[in-house]
Amino acid sequence: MMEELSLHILDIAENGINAGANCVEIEVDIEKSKDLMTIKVRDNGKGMDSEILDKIRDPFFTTRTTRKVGLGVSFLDELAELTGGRLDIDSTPGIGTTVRLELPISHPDRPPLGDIISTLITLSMINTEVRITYVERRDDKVWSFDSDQIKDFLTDYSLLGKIKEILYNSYKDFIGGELI
Amino acid sequence: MKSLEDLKRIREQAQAQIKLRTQEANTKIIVGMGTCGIAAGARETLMAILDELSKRNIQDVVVTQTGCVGLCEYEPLVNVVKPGQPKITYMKVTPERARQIVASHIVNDQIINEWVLSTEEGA
Repeated sequence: MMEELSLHILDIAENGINAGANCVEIEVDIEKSKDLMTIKVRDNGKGMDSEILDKIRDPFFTTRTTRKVGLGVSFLDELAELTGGRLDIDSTPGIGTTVRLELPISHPDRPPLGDIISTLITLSMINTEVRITYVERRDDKVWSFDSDQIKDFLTDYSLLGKIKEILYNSYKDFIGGELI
Repeated sequence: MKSLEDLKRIREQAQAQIKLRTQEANTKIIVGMGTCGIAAGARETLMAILDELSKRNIQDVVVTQTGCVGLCEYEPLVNVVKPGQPKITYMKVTPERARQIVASHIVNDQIINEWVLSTEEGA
């Protein structure tokens, strides 16, 4: 498992982009009253057929030729099992894939959400042709990001510091110091 | 600086001085962003590279990503490809190493041999 859920999100989004997606939608819902965190990553990549989908949780299965293990989804599966959560993966060839992870917020083995801004900047900067959207809901509050908003700046590293500052300040205002 | 609108204004004012990066840029930095790379710290490595390029106002470099190449134990891996030079693969690139690679290899053309995993001619 990884130290932060934001790293798992990066990994799953990268899987979608490597599967040909030009749009990745990420949603995080935090419902404290239900002790529930839901993470959804949806891409419009090439999708998977049922045969691959059946095997995807197996750490010794991968469609890659460079290695013999595929750890990304099995990490999530292990995390769901360890915390009493749930992992669902829906995929349709030619349409895309949706990964949905539900975790109990209060479980001691649930990793923190972590540095989601770094994940969004990383995804946007190295995949400039892909639209990355992110919506986080915390009870009645909503924070959102759309890489199309910063598309004009993605080819200019000199403005990266300013982009980071704006995003971190905006997100900090949203969470109000409450790290999940 | 409070919003993207402010940033847009700054960009428009500075646009004349900005040399935009293109796919024909001279140098490529490629970071391994497979599961193994991400678990080993590739996100922080990439952020450090972008930050260093930003601080030094370097524009003629493309930063991109690749998946797992089967050398998971050496992640995070960073490739530097300069025109007319072999592709250099650096291993176990921490954010600190990443900043030094930008300063030494990208800016001053000095390969840091101590961290080189492989050299590929004609890349």
